[in-house]
Order: sequence, then structure tokens, then C-alpha cells
Amino acid sequence: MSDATHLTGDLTVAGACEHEARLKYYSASQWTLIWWRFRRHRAAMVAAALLGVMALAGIFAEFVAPYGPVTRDTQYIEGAPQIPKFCDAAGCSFVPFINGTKTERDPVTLRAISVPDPEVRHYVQFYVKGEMVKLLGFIPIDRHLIGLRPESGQKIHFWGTDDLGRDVFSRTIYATRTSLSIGVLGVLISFVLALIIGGAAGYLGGMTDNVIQRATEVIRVVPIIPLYMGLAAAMPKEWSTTQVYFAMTLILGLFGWPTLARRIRSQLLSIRNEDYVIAARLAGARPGRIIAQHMLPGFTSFIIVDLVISFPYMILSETALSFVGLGLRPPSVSWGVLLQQAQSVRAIEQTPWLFIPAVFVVVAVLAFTVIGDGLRDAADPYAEAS
Amino acid sequence: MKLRCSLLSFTALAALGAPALANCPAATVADPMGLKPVFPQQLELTELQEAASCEMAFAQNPAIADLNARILGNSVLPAVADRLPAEPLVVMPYDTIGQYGGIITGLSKGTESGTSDLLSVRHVNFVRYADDLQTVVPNIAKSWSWNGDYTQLTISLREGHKWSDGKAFTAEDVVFWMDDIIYNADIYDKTPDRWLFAGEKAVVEALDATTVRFTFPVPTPGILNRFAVDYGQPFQPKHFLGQFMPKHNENAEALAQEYGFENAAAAVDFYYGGSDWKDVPSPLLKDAEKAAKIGRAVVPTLESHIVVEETSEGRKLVANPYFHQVDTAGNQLPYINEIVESYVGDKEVQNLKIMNGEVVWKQQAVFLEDFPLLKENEEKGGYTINFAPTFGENVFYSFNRTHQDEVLRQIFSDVRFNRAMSLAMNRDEINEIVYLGQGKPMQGVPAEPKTVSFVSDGVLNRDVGYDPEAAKALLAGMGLKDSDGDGTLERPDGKPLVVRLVYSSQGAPVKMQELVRDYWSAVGVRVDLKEVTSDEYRAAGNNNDLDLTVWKYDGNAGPTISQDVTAFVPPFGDFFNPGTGFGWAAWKTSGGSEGIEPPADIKKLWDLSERFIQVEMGTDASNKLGEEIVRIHTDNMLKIGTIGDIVAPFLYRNDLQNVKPIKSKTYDFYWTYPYRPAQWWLEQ
Amino acid sequence: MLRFTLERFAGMVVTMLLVSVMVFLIMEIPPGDYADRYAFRKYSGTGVNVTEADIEAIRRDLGLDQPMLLRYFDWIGGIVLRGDFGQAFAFETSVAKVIGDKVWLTAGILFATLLLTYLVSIPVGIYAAVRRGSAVDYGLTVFSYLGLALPNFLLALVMLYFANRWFGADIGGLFSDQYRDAPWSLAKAWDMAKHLWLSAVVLAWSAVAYQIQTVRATMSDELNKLSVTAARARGVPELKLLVKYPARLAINPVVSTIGFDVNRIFSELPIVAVVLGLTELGELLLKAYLDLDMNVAGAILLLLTFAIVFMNFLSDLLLGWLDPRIKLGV
Repeated sequence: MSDATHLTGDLTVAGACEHEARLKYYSASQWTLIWWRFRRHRAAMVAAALLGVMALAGIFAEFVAPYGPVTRDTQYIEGAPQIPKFCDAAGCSFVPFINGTKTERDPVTLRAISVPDPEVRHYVQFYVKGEMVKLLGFIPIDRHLIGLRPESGQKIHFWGTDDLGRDVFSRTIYATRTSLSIGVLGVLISFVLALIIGGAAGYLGGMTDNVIQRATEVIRVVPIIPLYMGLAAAMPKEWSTTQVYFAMTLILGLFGWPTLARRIRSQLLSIRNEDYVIAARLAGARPGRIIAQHMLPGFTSFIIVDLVISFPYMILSETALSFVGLGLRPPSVSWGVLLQQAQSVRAIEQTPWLFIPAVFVVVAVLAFTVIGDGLRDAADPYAEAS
Repeated sequence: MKLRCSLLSFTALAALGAPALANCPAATVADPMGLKPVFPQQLELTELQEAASCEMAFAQNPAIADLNARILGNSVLPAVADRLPAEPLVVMPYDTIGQYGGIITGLSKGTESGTSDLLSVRHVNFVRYADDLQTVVPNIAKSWSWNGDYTQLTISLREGHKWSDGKAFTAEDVVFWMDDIIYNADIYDKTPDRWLFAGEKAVVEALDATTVRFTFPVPTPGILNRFAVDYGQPFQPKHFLGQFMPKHNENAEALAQEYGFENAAAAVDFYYGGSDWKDVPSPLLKDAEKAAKIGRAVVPTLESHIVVEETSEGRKLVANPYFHQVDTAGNQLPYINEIVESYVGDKEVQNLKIMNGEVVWKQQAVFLEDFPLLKENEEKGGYTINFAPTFGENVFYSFNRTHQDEVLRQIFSDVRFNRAMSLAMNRDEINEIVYLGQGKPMQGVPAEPKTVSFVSDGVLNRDVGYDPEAAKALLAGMGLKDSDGDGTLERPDGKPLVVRLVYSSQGAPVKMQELVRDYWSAVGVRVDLKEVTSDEYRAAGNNNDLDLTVWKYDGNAGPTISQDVTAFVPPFGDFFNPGTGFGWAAWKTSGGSEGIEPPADIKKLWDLSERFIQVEMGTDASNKLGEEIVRIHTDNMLKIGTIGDIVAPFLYRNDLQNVKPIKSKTYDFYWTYPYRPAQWWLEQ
Repeated sequence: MLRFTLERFAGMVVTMLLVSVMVFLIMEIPPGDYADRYAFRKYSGTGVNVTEADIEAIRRDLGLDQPMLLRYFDWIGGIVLRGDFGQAFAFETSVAKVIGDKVWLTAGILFATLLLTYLVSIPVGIYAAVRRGSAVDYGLTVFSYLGLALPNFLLALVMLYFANRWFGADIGGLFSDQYRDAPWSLAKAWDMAKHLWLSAVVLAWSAVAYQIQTVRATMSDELNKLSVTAARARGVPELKLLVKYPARLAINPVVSTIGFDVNRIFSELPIVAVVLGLTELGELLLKAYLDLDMNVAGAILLLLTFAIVFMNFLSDLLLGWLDPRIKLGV
């Protein structure tokens, strides 16, 4: 309502330039409009940017991560995060550096303690030469986004290391790839299923609809995590980590469809008797074509919103399953696996930096939720016109 | 403290009437008051009375009547002197005569998981290893004797010894256990191998009420060790279980049906549970109402405490009012009223409970990796955590030489391959990361070096240095090459040499697997890691489905191998501790019709082991045989060892008294059994 | 109304039947069965070599060799006709005995969590709606989103740790030792409450987060209604006004999703229970999956799903009674 008064206010002072903008607005496509509206949703934009960074980091994990997910640094076990600095007791430098450290053991508690060596400086460098890895799985590179100068002979651990001396930062980056991709694949699978099942129910109606509705109801009433656990327990033990990975996405996707299917069904039901649909049907178009070409475009935006909103559940389910040992297991690296390793009193008291991956989970889940909200607002055709 | 106790004995004396002799000295290990017992830290009653020319008067736990009331089916208690055997075992407490009362709170993982530590706290057997882990001392048995060739063992029991329900315990109960339980086809449709000797049964006879004789078909000098360290107790109450056996009670079937059992065998199973393990689900867990109807919650026992409650959350036990031990002041043991065992499956909850001071005693499943955490919280939690040496904790990697894949079998059977894998391991790094630097690089041997005298340092140090170049050379010598330059060697059939390393965190530290994968990958053997649960692991191992086994030795300490050759012969392990070479084992058990014929060297192991357990441990003959067995194992490098001489933590709450640092943390001497938990007491 | 009730009842029965088929299928999928485990358990430590024939015999004993369809009817028949959920292999007793009193403890946890959820989310949601756009509203939104985003097993351990270290809270279980086997009394109930709050807080957080959003949204809509403006114009005191009109309506969607909330809470229960050392059905379910003790797993899943279906049925009836339009299917 306040928006409306705002618009009329604009009109009274409209110049030629303003007029052109309005023309552009009225002639813009649906997607452009959504994008424009979405762009104004500041929180959603921030969330999208964050997710974008995460996704990029995940895709180019080999480049972004200074070290491999299982590379060990035996010089720095259970070491605390190392923050590059410009100054120490010996003065300042233009290039950020860290002091050298070495790991010692407390003689009584046997706890590993890193003792800084202020005499030594190791300088940080971008696009640094390091481990040979295959970017995207096939492009061999030996350069990494950031690291210590090779001549230092040391490694830098921005977020510390775990009990094997593996770099938490690098592992988190690699885990981001696994967990986000499980989410994407899971959502895709459930999307396809929802489309087929919801489409059949909504378009055909009647008996088919009844049966499908009943089946959907059954899946909806069973608590989802115990259901996943049942299926995950059924995975053959001899499966390799890759097989388990795909099985996990399949399981997550296989039961993610009911909500979306219901949405598609009800939308289809409400428009299946519209004139243009009947016209298409009379013209002899096949059902699949009618749904895809004539009916779906009317509510694509809703579907996208629903898809985005179902991501967090996929991601959280992955972490939960991996946590109870029914999902991915080491040496796979996923957020769930990392959090499982952090799941100890020891970690809370002595190596709290192992909880950093939790921040990623929270940020990803929040981002998806906020983007979902933003998209919903943006896709609502009445949001502005009223 | 001392005052109170002497007062106690004084009143007891007064009740018994005027003594002719003086009070016995309340001697402790710390202050033996001039006593020099035949066996360390304990005496027989006559021995004490003669040595100190005294007469012992007995006292009891003031709460014993209440505790007894909680034992289902027990009637009003007779006087303490009438409950004890005519000759009770007199135990010298470590530091002080204790006070009665208190609860030992402990943690297990589940009904049958991680329970043996607490089982060992209340455990009894004919004999026991003293806390020096050298001397076998009497317990249920008053004494024993062998015939010349170690085929007949005669055991004397204590006159007047009673089960926890007050009924007499006699030699018949031992015969009953062997003949009617172990050798009973209704209970064990296959007789357990461990109670067969060279494939034949032993004969057990009751010579009189307190004398029982075991006759073995072959010399078995090590069997006494089994009675000292075994989880199983070689006696069962005939008066109770026998009532459900038609052989001993003609109305057994009718009785069983009256109680609602399908048949008499079902009634026996209800109480016995199909295993000598004392943690099998008790009648209280299976059907408490039925147990109440019958009027017995559990089988009567000779242990220091008896189960009175059991749910899926834990067990509660109370002191056995008929326990056969007293302290030197004549107080009936155990001092501690109750044991409360809670099941905690999650290690973190366990750690928090320990840090809170909720755990009185724990050694099993306290891990070195948690030591820094628990040590730092020691003061706050009011407990003490320390290390003890371990036995049989050396983790080994054993490649499957009877692999179903012929090519892999060929490679794995080549000693050069095994040596290469051993040399490729950086054991110092493993020691530092996994064992906090507290162990020592060590090759794998089937006999725990600290407990036998036939393992030389040369054997223990063979191929344990870190030398990846030598490893590569050995592999190259076998003709394994990396022709496509991907860093992984090719097998003779052109496929990449990939090994699937399946492991379970119960058998081997997770961290070590990640390290070993890297070491082996570095010399061209690619390793796929996969973690499974211990049950899955054992099933896979027993099905010969593994490329290699990674587990800890376990069960290779002197007392165990002296009577059990499991560790020596294929498959070099049992269900609980999977080994390797299942094809060889199948060849042997099937008489050559199945499985894979082992090389001549390996075949010799069966014969050598059979001879090994027929001679007395520590003799020259035994050492010679042992040396030969170890030589075959290590020459073939059947199991590649990693780190030995490992220490592991154990802990107790600071109010627990008469507790000493343990000499070794190991299942091989049955955890706490050597350290006499019956004389522990809790400061109130 | 009668017809409506009968229709819904028939619907419920059909759903339950389908659920039972699905649960049975889940019980069937895991490769291998309990016979293997049982064999090793039975013979472990006795030095007996287990052969395939032994396992086959055990399979016969346990009735696991029958065809699937037969076993389904046997299973569901036993449950429906005799209330017999079969044998819990790992415990060597009947499933009913194993599940027994845990049903009530689980119900207790679920109830406490639901109560906490509603006690917090309804007033807070209303408050947030009234103070829309304020810092408090913003803070509450972030807080509730955190509840949705934090993996609750993580939350469970961290909260357990701090509750324990800072407040000396008891850990593990629902009762202190002295009350575990005591008959029910006020003291025992209080003891249980002292143990329950942590689990309830962990479990309720995400449900609270979700419901705050729902209440806030509905409440915002209602606040904009003319009836509110009119009442405000009449000079009705603000608090009375809130309670009388919008708040009442805002609660509706919350109440109608109780079944859904139970579903969600139980869904998270197994994982939280493991961390908190609770021994209730969720933890038992997880253990049953790991042990392949499928009768136990099946019974728990089935009981719970039936409860949810039944609750949905009740809420349908309630709504039909409250709002005649629903009955007519308009």
C-alpha cells in the first residue's frame, strides 16, 4: 500500500528519463521483473553473494584450498588458527607473515601444544606454488590461491589443524563442494520426481490423483530422518565412497518430492480447465507437451522458490546421517563428516576451531532460506502492482 | 578408622563367646605385621591362625540384611560365621581395613558391550593371578595339584562354601558345569573347541564333596592359567539349573511347563543364556515377571556381587552375603555394598561423566587420545587418571594370503611385498600422532614379548625402520611397475594395485588408517579406506572378504597362549579378534577338501602349537617350540606390526581406597581381577 | 458429521495399511539378516567354527526363511490381532518388552518439547509481530533462523557440555539414580523435569523457530484487519485487543500442525538422544538399525507413524467440527 503511494508520487515528478524507465519496466519480461525485485531485497542479495562465493570456492576447491583435504602437517598437529600479521616484536613488514611454530607435548597431560618461534617469519603469498592437483578433476595445476612462500618449508593454517595435522580451512573448502553438490543433486532428483508425480496427479486428476495423494500422505507421515536412516542402513557395506555418495543423494532425493509434488498438483488442478489448456488439448497436443509448454510456465517461479527452500533440508539431512555413521564416512570430506570429527568434548575444550565448518552449514542454510524468502517476494506478481 | 574396626571385631567376639586365643593381627600389604603368607597378599584361615596363634572372629556388613532382602528368593540370613566357608580365604587389604558401604558406579556401552571391566570387578574363578601377574594364587579353589605328566588336575574346594542363595557349593557343581552345560548338546549343539583337548573331551569327576578331578586326554599344563584369566567360571549351581534337567529331576518338564516354558531346555536357557559370559541378557531383562514367578532373578553365583536389577539402561548388583573372603580383621568381603552399572554408548557422554566424578572405576574403553582432556580435568572431577602398560595392543596389518582374487593372493603371499609394506610405514610418526609418543615401533609377534622369554629384540626390530626407498626396491624386485606413470603400480594382469583397507574403530585407531593409506600410496600401492562397525568387520573377516585385516593382537599374553593356540594357527584369531588365512583354516578343518592348501612352513604350525600347549610354559622345551612358532610367523611376516609397548589410561575416583596402580591394562589377565576389587572400599 | 467421520476414518485405515507396507519394506531392504549376527553372538568366544549350515538353521528357527508376503501378514497379523510385535533378537525377548515403558518416556519427551515449543513460540511470535521492524523483531528472526540452521546434534553436545560444566546438570538418562526405579511421585516428576529440559530445549529450538515465523506472519496479517483497527478506535485496551482478536486466530495454524510438529521432533530425536545419552525410542531405533534388529525398528516406526496418522485424523475431525466448510470439501 505504501509502495502504491510512492509510485504515484513518482509519477507526478516524472521526466522524460523517468518515462523511459517506466516503459522499460512495463515491457520487461517476467524474469527480468523478478530479478529487478529480487535485487532490491538486500538480505537476499547478500545471501546470494555468500552462496555464490561458497559455490565457487567449492567448484575450484583445488585452487582455493592451499592444501589437499588429507594433506598432513606433522609439524603442526591440533594447532590453533594462524592469523597472518604485519608486525611482531622485531618490527613490521609490508608482506603479511606468520611466525614459525613447533609442536611440543605437555609432559603431564601429553597434550600437543604449539610453541611459537618469534625468531622465524614465514611470508604469505598469493598465487603460490604448492601441491600438484587436478583442477575440476582434470586440469593439472600447482598454483594455489594463497599460501606461504615455498621456500619457507612450512604450511599456513588459517583455521588451524585437526588431530592429524590436516588443514581445517582446506578441508572445509573441499567439504563445501561435497555437501553443496549433494544438495543440488538431491534437489534435482526430487524435482524430477515431483514433476512426474505431481504432474500426473494434477493433470489426470480423478482416480490417479486419489492414489497418488494417498501415497504422498504415507510418505509425509513417516518421520524423515528415521526413514533415511533405514535406507542408509541398507547400503551395502562394500560400497566405495563414491557409490555411497551417489546413494546418499538418491536417498535424499527419493523422499524430498512430496511437498513440491503437492504444489505442482494443486497448481495444475487449478488451471487444467482454463481455456488455453482445453484449446491445446483439443488441438491434439500430448499431455507431456501440454504440461511442459502451456501449464508449467505459469508457476515456474513458485517451483523455484520451493526448490531453493528444500536445499537446507537436504544439507542438514546429509550432516545428520553422516553424523550417526549412516551417511558419508571418512575419507570422504563433507560438512557432516567434519562436524562429526568436531563432535567431542575434547574439541570443545581443546580445539574449538574444528567447529568452524558449522559456520558454513549455518551460513548455507540461512542463505538458502533468505534467498527463498527474497525469491518468493520477488516472484509475487501482486507485490508491486497493488 | 582402625579403632572402629577393632571395636567391630570385639563386639563380634563377644557375641561368639569368650575366645581362647588372641585376636588375629589386622595385617595389610603395607604393614604385614610379620606375616609371610605362602601366596602373596592372602592366606588361608588355618595358615593365619597358626602363624599368629590367634583365632579369627568374623564380622559382617551392617547393611547385609537389607542387601540380602533385595536378592529375589533369598531367605533370612544365618550368622556370618555360618555363611562363610569353614575356611574362608583371608585377604590382606593393600593399605587399610575398610569400611562397609558405598556404591561402585561404572559405565559399560551396552548389555553385552564393553562390560568385561565391571564383570572382572566381581569375578571369581578357581584361581587368580596375583597383582604381580606372575603367581597363580587360590581363590574359589583352596589348593590344586597335578599328576606327573599334566594330564590330571585335582582341585580342592572350600568346605562349607555356599552359593549366593545359601545352598552348598560342592564338587558336583563343577562336574555339572562340564557334563551338563558345556558337553550338553541341548545347550551347545557343537562342543566349544576350547573345551576339547586334541579334539577330545576332558573327564571331570567329584572325588568327594570338596575334591574335583579333571582328566585330560593329553598333557595340558596351561589349563590352570585358563582358570586364572578366563571370563568363564567352571561351576554352575546343580541344585538350581538341575531342577530343569530331566536327567536330574524327573519332573523337570512338568516344572518348566508350570512356569510357562515351552520345555525344560527353554527354562535352562532362560537362566544360563547359552554362554559362560556373565553379561548375557538375564531373566530380569528377558522377562522379569516370569523370573518373579519362579522366585529367582538370576542364577545363584559365587561372585562378590549379584545382579538384582537389570534393564536396558543398566544393572544393579548387591554384595553377595555368602562371599567366601574375609579381611585379616575377620570382616566379610566385599566392603562395598553395591555396583551400579550404567550403559553409556556415547564416548563423549562417558567423558563428561568421568569429568564430573561420576565414575568410581574404569579402565576398559578409556582411550589415550582422551588422556590430555581427562588429565586436565582430574582435579575438578576428583579422580585420578594414570597410565598402565598394555598387552596385545600392537596393531597389525595382515594381508589376506588366501584371497579369492588369485592375482592379489600371489602378491600378498610374497614376503617381499609384506616387507615392503612394513618398511613403507613411518612408525615414529604413527607413535607420535596416534599414541602421543608413548609407544615403541615394533614388529608383530604372536606372543606378547613382555610375558614370554622366547622373543628376541632382533625379531621385534626387523623391518620396522622407515625406508620407503627400500620398500620401492622390494616392490620393483617383484616385477611390479608403474608403466602408466599415475603413481600406482600395476598388477601382473595390468590392473592398478589397489588395496581396500576396511577397518573398525574398535580394532584399530582410525587415525592410523589414514596415515597408513598415505604411506602405502607413496610407494605405489593405492589404498581405499572404509570404516565399518565392529560387527560388520568381524562378519566380513570371518567370510574371507577382506584384502587385509587390521586389528590388535589381543589374547597373546603368556597365560592365554599357554592354553589356547588361537593366535598361533590359521586363521590366527577368533571371531572377536579376526585374523587372516581363512582359506588355510578351511583346508585344515575340512581335512583338505576345501579351502587353500597352506605352504609347508604354515602346516608345521598346527603340530608345533599342539606340542606347545602340552609342555609347561617357561621350560626349555616350551621356549624352543615358541621360538620356532615365532620364527615361522615373522619369516613369513604374517602380521605386520606397528607400535608396541603401548600405555593406556585407567582411572578411579579419589574416594576409592585400597586401590593400587595396575601393572597392566589388559583383557589377557581379565582386567581388574588380579587387583582384588573385593577389598576396595569407599571413603564415606 | 457422521459420514464425514466415517470417511476420514476409512482414509486413516487405508493410510495405516499403506504405512505398514512401507515400514515392512524398509525392514526388508538391509542386506543380510539377523541370523548372521545371531550366529556369531551365540558362538562367539566358544571357539566354535560357524558354518553356513548353522546360520541356515538359525534362520529357520527365527522364521526368517519364509517368503516375504507370508512374513508380512504374519507380522502385521500379530500386531493387529494379538498386539505382538515379534521378537527383539538382540535382547532375546519380545519387542513389546523392549519398547515397553520407553513409549511413555518418549511420549514425555515429545510432550515436553511440544509444550515448550508452544509456550515460547506463540507469545514471542505475537510480540515480534506487534513490534515488527524493531531491533527485537530482527533479533528474534535471526535467533529463530539459527534454530533452523544449526545441526541439532552439534547443539546437543555443546549445550550438554555447558549445562554440565557451568550448572552441574546431570547428564544422560531421564532420572537420577534414586528415582529411576521409584514409583511415580511428585519428586520423581520434578526429577524428570530437571533431566528433560535440556533435551526439550535442543529439540524444541528448530520447532520454535519455525512456529515463531508462522505465528508472526499470521499475526501480522490479522493486525492489519479492519476489526483490529475498529476495536482500537473504540478504545479497547491494547493487550485485551490483542488477545481478543488477532492472537486467537494466529494460533489456529499452529494448532492444526501438531501432527507435523511431532513428526519433526521425533525425526530429530534419535540423533539428539545419542548425544544426550537418552535411552528412549529414538535411540533404540538407531541401535536397532545398526544391529539389523528389524522387528524393533519396524515396531517403533510403525507405532510412531500410526500415532501421527491418528493425530491427523483427530485434527481433521476437530477442524471439521470447528469449520463446517471443510466438511463439505469446499
